[in-house]
Formats: sequence, C-alpha cells, structure tokens
Amino acid sequence: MESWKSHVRAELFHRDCRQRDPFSGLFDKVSRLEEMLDFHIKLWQGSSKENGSSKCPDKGGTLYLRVNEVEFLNQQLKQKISDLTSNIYLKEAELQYCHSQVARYRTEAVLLAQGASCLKSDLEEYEYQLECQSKELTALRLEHNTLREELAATKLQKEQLLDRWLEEKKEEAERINKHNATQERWQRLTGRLKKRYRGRSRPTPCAANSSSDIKPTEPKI
Amino acid sequence: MANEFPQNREGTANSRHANLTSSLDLSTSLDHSVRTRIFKIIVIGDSNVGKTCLTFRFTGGAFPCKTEATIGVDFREKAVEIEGEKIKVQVWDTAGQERFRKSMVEHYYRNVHAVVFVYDVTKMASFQNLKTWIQECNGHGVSSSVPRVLVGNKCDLVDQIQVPSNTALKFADSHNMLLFETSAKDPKESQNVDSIFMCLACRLKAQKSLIYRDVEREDGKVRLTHQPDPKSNCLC
Ligand SMILES: Nc1nc2c(ncn2[C@@H]2O[C@H](COP(=O)(O)OP(=O)(O)OP(=O)(O)O)[C@@H](O)[C@H]2O)c(=O)[nH]1
Ligand SMILES: [Mg+2]
Repeated sequence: MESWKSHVRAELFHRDCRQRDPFSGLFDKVSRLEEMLDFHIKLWQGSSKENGSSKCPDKGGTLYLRVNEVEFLNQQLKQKISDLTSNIYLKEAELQYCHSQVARYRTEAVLLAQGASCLKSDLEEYEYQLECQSKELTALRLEHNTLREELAATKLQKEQLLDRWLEEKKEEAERINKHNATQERWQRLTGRLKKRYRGRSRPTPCAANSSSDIKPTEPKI
Repeated sequence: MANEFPQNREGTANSRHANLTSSLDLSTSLDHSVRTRIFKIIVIGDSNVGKTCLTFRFTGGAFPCKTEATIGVDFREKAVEIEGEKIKVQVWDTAGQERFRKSMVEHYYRNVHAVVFVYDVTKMASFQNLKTWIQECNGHGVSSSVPRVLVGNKCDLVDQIQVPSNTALKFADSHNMLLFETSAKDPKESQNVDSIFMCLACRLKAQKSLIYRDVEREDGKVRLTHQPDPKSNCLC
C-alpha cells in the first residue's frame, strides 16, 4: 500500500478515537429521539386508523401522546429495572463465587505457606546434616588414608615377618639335616665299634641299658 | 666374697656328683637316641592337595579342622616300631606354593630317605604337575634308589574325581612307584594313610639293614638279628 494512504488511514483512525467520546452522548440522544420518533409514528398511524370509530376528548392529541409516551418510558424503565435486578443477582452470585474462591485460595495459601516453612526447616535440617556428613566424610577420609598407610606398613611388616619365618625355617631345616647326618654317622660308628668289640670279647648285658631300650616313645607333631 | 668359697667347693662336689649321674643318664639316653634311627621322608606336591592333612593324619591320628598354606616346611615325627626296632619317621611337610618354598628346596632334598608325591584326585592339574615335581626331585640329585610313592588324596570326594585310577596307576608304574589312593579326611582311610609311611619305613629298614645292624638283648645275651622279626608290623 502506498505510504500516504496508510498515513491518511492512521490519521482518520486517530481522529475517530479522539472524537468518539465527545459525540457519544449526542449519538445516544439521537438514537433515543429516533426511538421516540418511531414510537410516535406508530402511535400516530394507530390513532389515525381508530379516528373514525372513537372520538378522543383530547383535541390536539397532545395528552394522548403524552400519556402513551410516559407509558412507553415506564415500560422501558421497568425493563431496565428488571434487567438491572437480574444483573444484580448475577453479580451477587459472581461475588459469592469470588468470595469462595478467595477463601479457598487463602486456605490453600496458608497450607502452602505451612508447607514452605516445613520445607524450609527441612532444608535447614538437611543443610546441617550435610555439613555434619561432610565433616564426617573428611574425618573418614583422613582415617582411611591413615588406615591405608597402616595397611601398607603392615603388609610390609608381614612380608618381612614372612621372610624371617622362611629364614628361620631354613635354619631349622639345616639344623635338622645336620642332626640327621650326625645321627647317621654316629650309628655307623657305633655299629662298627660294636662289631669290633664283639669280635674281641663277649660282652655282658647291662641292666641299665636294657631298661632304657624299652622307654616308650610318644609320637610328636 | 670370701665366704662364697666353701659353698662353691661344696657346690662343685655336688655338681661333680650330679655330673656323674647325668653322664650315666646321658650315656643311656645317648645310646637310646643313637640306636633310634631317623628316616627322613619328604612330602611333595601342588599346594592344596592335602600334604599337611596327610602328614597330620599319620603323625597326629586326626584330620585337622583348619589348615593354612604351609610356609617353608613343617616337621612332624612319629616313632614306630618295625620288627622290634624303634624308628623315628621324620616327615617333612613341604610347602606347595612357590613363594613359600623357593628359598629352601635344596634343604628338602638333602639326605632324603624317601619321597612321597601327592596329587589331588579331584584336580587334574595337580596330577599333571607331578612331572614337574619329579623333575625337581631328580634335579636335586636324589638317587633312583631312594624309594618314592605316589599318593592320590581326597578320595572321599567320590563324585568329583577327575583323575582315573588306571591313569594314575600307569603313571606310577612308568616311574617305578607304588600308588596309594586315599583320603586324609575319611577316618576309615586312616590305616591306609599309615600304610603309606609304614611301607616306606619298611623298605628303608630293609635297604639300610646292611649299613646298621640292630643289636637286640634277650635273656641277658646279645643276639644279632639278620632275619626280619616274624611279629613285624610292617604293613606292606
Ligand atoms: N575332602 C577332603 N579335603 C581334604 C583332604 N585333605 C585335605 N583336604 C582339604 O584340602 C585343603 C588343603 O589341605 P592342606 O593339607 O592344607 O594342603 P597342602 O597340600 O598342605 O597345601 P600347601 O601347604 O599350600 O602346600 C584343606 O582345606 C583341607 O581341608 C581330603 O582327604 N578330603
Ligand atoms: Mg601344607
């Protein structure tokens, strides 16, 4: 659209807006007068039809017109009153509904406020717990670290003990092997000696020795 | 200080007397201990096959309710009497775990008189590893004259057996070993466990009788025993 057209259109629209209010009373009045004129024309047509049959006491018909006019206005007012009354009922019902809504929202708000305060206190509680737990966590972490260190130390100690244990076992094994070897040498030696001794003279048995021979030996674990 | 002397002198006299009696005791016990021969038997095999339980069954007569892995070696002894001779069977319960044995393997095999190889009848791997154990044994200069036996343990777990008897028997035959299938846990097998070690002790006694002759005193006379005693408690 060309710009001057849109400009004129906008200007006209503004003018309408500006001028509607001052003229609105005038329009009302015009419409009311038109209504009245319609009524008068209808009345006039009606009265001219009836003219032939009945005679009106009012010569000019002004009174008649006046009475009918008042009647008409009366009717209109009645209608308006009844409209307004029903409107009042409607508004009252609306108001009641609004009141109930307000009450409902109020209780709801109270409940929500209570909930909010509960949640707030819960939150505080949780925050406190969180703080405690975080403190505990740091303490536990510290303890964990020390325990881990201790564990490492203990492991090392265990390894060392194991090494020592093995070393001792080795020494014990060496000792036992040596003892076994000595024992075997002794046995061979005594065997040989006894053989030689028996070869030279006939020995007499020794009572003490024979008693020692039957010493019971316990199984050892 | 001075008055300690008489006491000391008296003490010396007493101790001399004591020495005399103790030397008598000593000679008796020495004679006794010297006369008791020791047979060193080592028990070899994978970890967890039940070496400790077997040796404990033999020396302690029971099944241990709880065992830990053997570290290095455990020494167990049992005095037995074979053909009238008291013999100390010295059982070396060796560790099966490499880390607990590697530093002392040579001590196991030094002057060993007999070797017991153990496997777990419910674990094929322990049977297959026997080859390695035999290699180790041979590698440590154990002569072929040293008696060896093969023991399949845990026979009480009948439904878990993985090593069939004939496979084990073939293996034992091929290595010139006797095979024992037994259980350290089952009390009914206790005699069988004893017989493993007794059998070895008998063989050792028979082998070594040429080296050492037992002197028995009977009715105040000395008698040389060349023949085995008829009341022998040898189980093989
Ligand atoms: N069912 C059953 N379990 C057994 C038997 N013998 C040993 N065990 C179990 O096998 C496990 C190992 O036994 P150990 O005697 O400690 O084994 P090990 O050969 O000495 O092991 P290392 O000392 O590590 O070389 C233990 O839990 C025993 O209870 C058996 O005859 N039957
Ligand atoms: Mg063990």
